[in-house]
Amino acid sequence: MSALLDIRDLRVTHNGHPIVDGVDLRIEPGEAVGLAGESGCGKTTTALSVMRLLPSSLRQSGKITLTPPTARKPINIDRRTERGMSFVRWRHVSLVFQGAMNSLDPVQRVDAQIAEAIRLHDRIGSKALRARIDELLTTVGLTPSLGHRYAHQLSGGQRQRVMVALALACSPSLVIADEPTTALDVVMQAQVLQLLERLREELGLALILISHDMGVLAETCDRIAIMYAGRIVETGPVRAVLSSPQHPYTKRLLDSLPVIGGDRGLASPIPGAPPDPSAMPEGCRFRPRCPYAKDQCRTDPPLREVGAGQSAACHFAPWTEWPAIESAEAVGARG
Amino acid sequence: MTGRWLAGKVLGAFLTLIFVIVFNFFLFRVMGDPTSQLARLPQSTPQEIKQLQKDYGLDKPLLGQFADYVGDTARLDLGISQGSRRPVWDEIKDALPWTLLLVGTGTLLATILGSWMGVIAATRRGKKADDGLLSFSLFTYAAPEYWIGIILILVFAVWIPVFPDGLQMTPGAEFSSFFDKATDVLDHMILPVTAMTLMLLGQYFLIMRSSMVDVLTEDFVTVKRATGLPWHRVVRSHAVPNALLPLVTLSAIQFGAVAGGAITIETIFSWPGLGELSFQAIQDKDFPVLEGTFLVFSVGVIVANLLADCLYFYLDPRVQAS
Amino acid sequence: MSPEQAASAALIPAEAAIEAPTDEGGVRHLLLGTWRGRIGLGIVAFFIFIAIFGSLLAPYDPNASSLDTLAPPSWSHILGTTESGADVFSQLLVGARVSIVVGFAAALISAVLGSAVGLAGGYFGGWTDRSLDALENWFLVIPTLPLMIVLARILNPSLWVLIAVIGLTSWAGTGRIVRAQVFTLRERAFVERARALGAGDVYIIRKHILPNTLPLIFANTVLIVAVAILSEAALSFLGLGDPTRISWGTMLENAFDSGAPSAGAWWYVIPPGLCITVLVLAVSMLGYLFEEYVNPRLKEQEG
Repeated sequence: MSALLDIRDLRVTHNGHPIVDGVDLRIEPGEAVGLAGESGCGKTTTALSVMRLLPSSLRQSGKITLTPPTARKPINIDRRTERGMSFVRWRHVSLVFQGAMNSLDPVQRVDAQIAEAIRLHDRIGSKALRARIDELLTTVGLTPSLGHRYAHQLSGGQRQRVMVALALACSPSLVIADEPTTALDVVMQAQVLQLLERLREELGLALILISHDMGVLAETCDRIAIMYAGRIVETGPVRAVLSSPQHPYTKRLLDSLPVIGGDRGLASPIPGAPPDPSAMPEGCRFRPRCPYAKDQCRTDPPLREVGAGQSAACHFAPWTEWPAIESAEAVGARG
Repeated sequence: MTGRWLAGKVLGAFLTLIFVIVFNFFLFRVMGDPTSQLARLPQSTPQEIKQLQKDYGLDKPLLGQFADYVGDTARLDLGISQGSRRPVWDEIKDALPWTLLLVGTGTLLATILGSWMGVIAATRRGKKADDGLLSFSLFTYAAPEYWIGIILILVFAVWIPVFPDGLQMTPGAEFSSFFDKATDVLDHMILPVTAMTLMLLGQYFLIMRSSMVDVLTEDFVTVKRATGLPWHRVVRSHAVPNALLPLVTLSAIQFGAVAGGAITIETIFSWPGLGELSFQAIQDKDFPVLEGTFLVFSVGVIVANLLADCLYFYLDPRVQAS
Repeated sequence: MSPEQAASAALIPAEAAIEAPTDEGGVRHLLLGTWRGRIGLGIVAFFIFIAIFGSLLAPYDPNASSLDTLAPPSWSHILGTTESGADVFSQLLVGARVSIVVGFAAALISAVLGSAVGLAGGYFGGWTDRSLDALENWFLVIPTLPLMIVLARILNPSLWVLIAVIGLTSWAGTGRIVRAQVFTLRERAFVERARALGAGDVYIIRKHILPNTLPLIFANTVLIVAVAILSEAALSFLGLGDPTRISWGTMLENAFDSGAPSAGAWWYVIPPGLCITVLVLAVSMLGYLFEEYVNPRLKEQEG
């Protein structure tokens, strides 16, 4: 069975500086893959690249192949023209944005926006259209009458649901959700995640879930990929990666999360900041902030399989146990 | 609820109007030439003036004078023109339609052209088209509109005599039909309207451009693109309607400039509107007329602002709901 | 252009800057390092020079009439003559003075007035603010040129009247900007701290509010200079200029009155307007430059 989405060596540059630097990712039909990392690591850029929605100041290269179950041939996204992409977008891949505050046109009624998306890809009579919109709204747990409203007349949670309904309008096989729960409170968060999970089961949707919140990813995803400075540094089944991380960055990300019932000390943040694209460090990009870095780390570690379906880009993987971390000053001194 | 916002705007406009009347009174009656008050009366021979000073108003307390003034203004008794000896209101009544024609056409053209230019510049930001349009707008912004008018006359009425160099109609001409008359007026209208449009173009362009640039950075534009909508439709059907909203409110700022432009442009082209009337009044020191035209210009700007508010109310669903 | 338009130009993309950089080096780089700054500064400096030395440089007495009326450019009169035979070029040189003097003086008055109103309203709030704000809004709504005309006609036109009238009607835009900035600053921590330490209003205004507002006032005032120059030209054109002085506006007035356009006397009609346009362009360019510097968000948008 061929992958639904196959990304090979995706690179995105801005003025020659790398934003996404050689990302490979495979999504199987119906699979939920999480994309995690700090802000600025390239997760959103990767997502937008799949739909060729990057602003003109960014240059994209690499092979992206989409093979939806309903399509006759695989779709070479990297080779499509802008016009060609308009047949792919939303029909096979759709997007759920974070915040949804301004993700909907403020002066257009919600049902009109869903209708517009549907009509772009389907010849459909107005009665059938009406029925479909009502069905979509009901599916995400909203009363169809809410469709007549404008975006500002809905609560944050309702708007997010509308975004999900909109994303499903053309029955795509892949949905990319970029921080879909960030702007919501915990209760709303749980509801939206449950919704996504249910839809996945019912419709067989594949999902790329982007979040900096590991907890959210743990709940919903089958596999997870950790990004740092434009590259994937670890990937694997979500349970495996979270219980036994194979990359220092993943370990530190997990360490910085507070654990219920665990130690009551302050969570330890990772010292330093992600590198600036115009000044990438030599070799392993995490080296300046890595407490375990050695001289060997000046050469680029490749992403290689280190366990059952788990890969990491670290010279010293597989890690069976993590040595005690030295003080922060020493880490900084190693530079 | 929805009506309250509108009622507030109407009240505001009314208060502004009251302030204009108070200001006018203070300026013309208290500070200005007191005998202009007497010019409101048909007779104004020197002997009778002294008598009238006793009989009418000037020995009354200020508040009484003001009450008279407000009453007169409400009845459209704005005095007598010292130049033509006709009631000021009659002069204004004759002149107003011509000014509305000039200003209305100019504003309409400037809005449409300026907005269109603004969209082009915003969607091609940083490229040659954007730079060119910006330079052009800056030039029309900086150049005095009456100078542009003079140059238009020079080029299109003197060197290449395509259009008439002034007036609103060919003097002394007889017209067999309304259509013929209208065509003649149109012929005379082209240069002054061009001057007025050029004057206003720059501001509309800048506002629309800025507004579009803001809107194009919004998330919903990316979402619309993501749904597969072709870019030109994203711009036309979603970005532009959202960008028009600030345009309506912000362009209200230049209604005042329109009045000024009307005065100078009408003067250049001898266009028989309120502007030309004001110019004559300046030359003749005809205070009743100046007072009257200032009042009418102010009312015009206040009403235009109110209409802009109403238009905004109609267009923006977010205001309607609040 | 009108004061309202200059004000709206300042307000279009953003609110007042929170932190206004005041480093010397920055301003100097802005003026001398960017080509916009160099051209703008060069042109303005050039016109100021003409304003000062114009009467010395003029080949003829600008008021001297001759029999050679409305003559096209020649070797003896490089820009031809006026309807009374006076030399156009000499008038042009001398006319710069009025534009520069009225432009800067009126803008200064407008800046002081606008800042005072904005400061008072923004800092003290309450009824002071509400009444000043109403006054400000009134001046913004009322058509400016008609207002100036009415004021200038009632008082008899002269240079000082022009400066006063333009200054007294153009302050509202500055007022609004200053008020917005003061509002923001008032709530900032360092003001609260100073107040807690017992500092008086005057002290706080002088030491904390003003330094953070002056750059904004300065940038806006430069734009008002452009507006003032245009206003003076318009008033002079309509016959409300100082009758004892020649200005570019009065040149256009005389040209128009004597039928120069219809006579095709382009040498008389084009130069004064062109000078006004170029000067206003240069001043505006500098004004927008300063504004971008003071308001980082503007810079970010255009970048």
